[in-house]
Amino acid sequence: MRWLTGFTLGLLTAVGGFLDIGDLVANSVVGSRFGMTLAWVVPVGLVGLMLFTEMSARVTATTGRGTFDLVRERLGPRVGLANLLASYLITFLTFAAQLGGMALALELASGIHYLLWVPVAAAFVWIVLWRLSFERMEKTYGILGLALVVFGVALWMLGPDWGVLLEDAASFAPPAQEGPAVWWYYAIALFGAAMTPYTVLFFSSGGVEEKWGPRDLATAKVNVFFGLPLGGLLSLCIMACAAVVLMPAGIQVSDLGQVALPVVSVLGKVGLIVVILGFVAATFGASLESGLSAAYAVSQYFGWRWGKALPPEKAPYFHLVIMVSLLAGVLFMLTGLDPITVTEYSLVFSAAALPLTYLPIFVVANDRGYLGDRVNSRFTNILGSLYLVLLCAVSVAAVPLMVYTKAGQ
Amino acid sequence: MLETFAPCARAPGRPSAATLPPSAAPSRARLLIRAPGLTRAFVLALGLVLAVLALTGCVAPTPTADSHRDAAEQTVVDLLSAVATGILVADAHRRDLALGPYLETTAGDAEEAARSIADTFGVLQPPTPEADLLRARLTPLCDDAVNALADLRIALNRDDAEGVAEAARLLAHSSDALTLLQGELS
Repeated sequence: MRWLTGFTLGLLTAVGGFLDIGDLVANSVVGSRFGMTLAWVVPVGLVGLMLFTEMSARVTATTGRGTFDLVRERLGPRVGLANLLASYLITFLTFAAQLGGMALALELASGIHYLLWVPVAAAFVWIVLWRLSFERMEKTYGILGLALVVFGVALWMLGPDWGVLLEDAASFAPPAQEGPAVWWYYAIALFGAAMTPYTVLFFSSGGVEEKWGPRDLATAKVNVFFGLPLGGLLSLCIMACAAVVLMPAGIQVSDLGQVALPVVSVLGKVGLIVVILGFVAATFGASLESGLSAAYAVSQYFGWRWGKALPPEKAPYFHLVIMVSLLAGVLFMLTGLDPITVTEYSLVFSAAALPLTYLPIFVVANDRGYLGDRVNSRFTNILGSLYLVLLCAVSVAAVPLMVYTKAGQ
Repeated sequence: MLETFAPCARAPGRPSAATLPPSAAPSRARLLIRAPGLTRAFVLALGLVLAVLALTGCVAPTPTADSHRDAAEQTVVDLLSAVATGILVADAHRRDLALGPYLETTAGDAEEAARSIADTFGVLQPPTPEADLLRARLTPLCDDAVNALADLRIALNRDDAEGVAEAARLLAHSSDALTLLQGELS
């Protein structure tokens, strides 16, 4: 019974914790501009995320050590530093975007300008990181994040022509009014949203925090292989809602309020309250995850003691990195940069840096010295190699496409 | 307080996972932060990041008639998006579908977006007399859209149903005019 409870909660957490401001914005922007023509990117990104998250979970459950710890040890300080710089910068940008996203969601609920909410959101994040246990923290926001299921309900209530949506999804071509460069640019942003590096880093380091052993591997795999796809399904629902309501109206999403419009149009005030709750939970959860991930990455690389469970006097540098990242994130958002724009840029830079994050994990997961018989199977290696080629292609194309399309204009 | 860093080289006979406490630092490494290779790698990475930021921060001027026309077309598309958002917000208010702060914030964001779009087009230098004509036609449409969205925000703030209805009418008119121009430009 206890196992069942743990499994259910883990699954819910994986679903609710999958979506962050990047997924909310990217899926809605894409749905409103390209309909369902980029829906194929979600499963492609999802399979990659599942593949590398499972590898990372396997490494953690077998070795009991964090990913960056092993990457530096296995690949040396140079590769480790490149890995760290890429992961930290992207994770920091994501962290700042989540803080901004949470402030935007609170603005929607209160009418008070989001910049006034940024420090409040950061303080709330800090208090939870300081006071709440890892397990309770993870499950609370994960379950609250399930409020985003409201997009699935709204889609059902909208009663779209499912055949047209499917036909659109299978077209694999941009709509007539959009060019291929912009279409590919958003494909990369959507891919970056699905494969955000902090997800893998948090999942593996969280495993260390929760003291995973080989016996926990089965539960972790179920959460990865069932929870994440359900989260991906929610992403598609957000995209479809935008495709059904916003695209025909000629609305191209540029604000969080527009993301909620399809839900409001069919579910009214109750739907609005639920969707704003979902926005807050998703961005808040992602703030916690990305903030912790930034500190995990730095601490594991430098070999400092780390862990949310450890008090500041026992892991001073770990807590210092969290505090500095939080402060820097707040200052970054208080410059007045549009959080949605920051999110979009973070997704593209994330896509550009993907190989630096995932290649080392792939190498470590093939090291018998660490994993013994639990190294990657032949199938995992074939799939992983294909994904690494894809990640490199995405990485090379991301920034030139951003420049060429003027960031998707 | 300060931990000893572990050597970065891979060591044989590594301890098994079970022997390591979860959050303990590996005790065999020294971080070669002062190594020249590391410094070089860091400078290279920093240079790349700065180059990317510089490249993406560059905004090209509008040197030709074609690119001015493209900018006008993009302005119309973006304005139509903001105006359509305003129309949906007004409709949600009429049907009592949403709470005041949400409607006001969303309308305010649409107004801000429209104003930014109008300003961006406004500063473009028209390269030809034909471009002057296009500018003379589009600029009032920009102003109309921004003003209608501002009216909507003000009416929503006052919970003034008649004011919202009037703003919705203006937005519909603005949308029609922009759609007409879009048809001519494309």
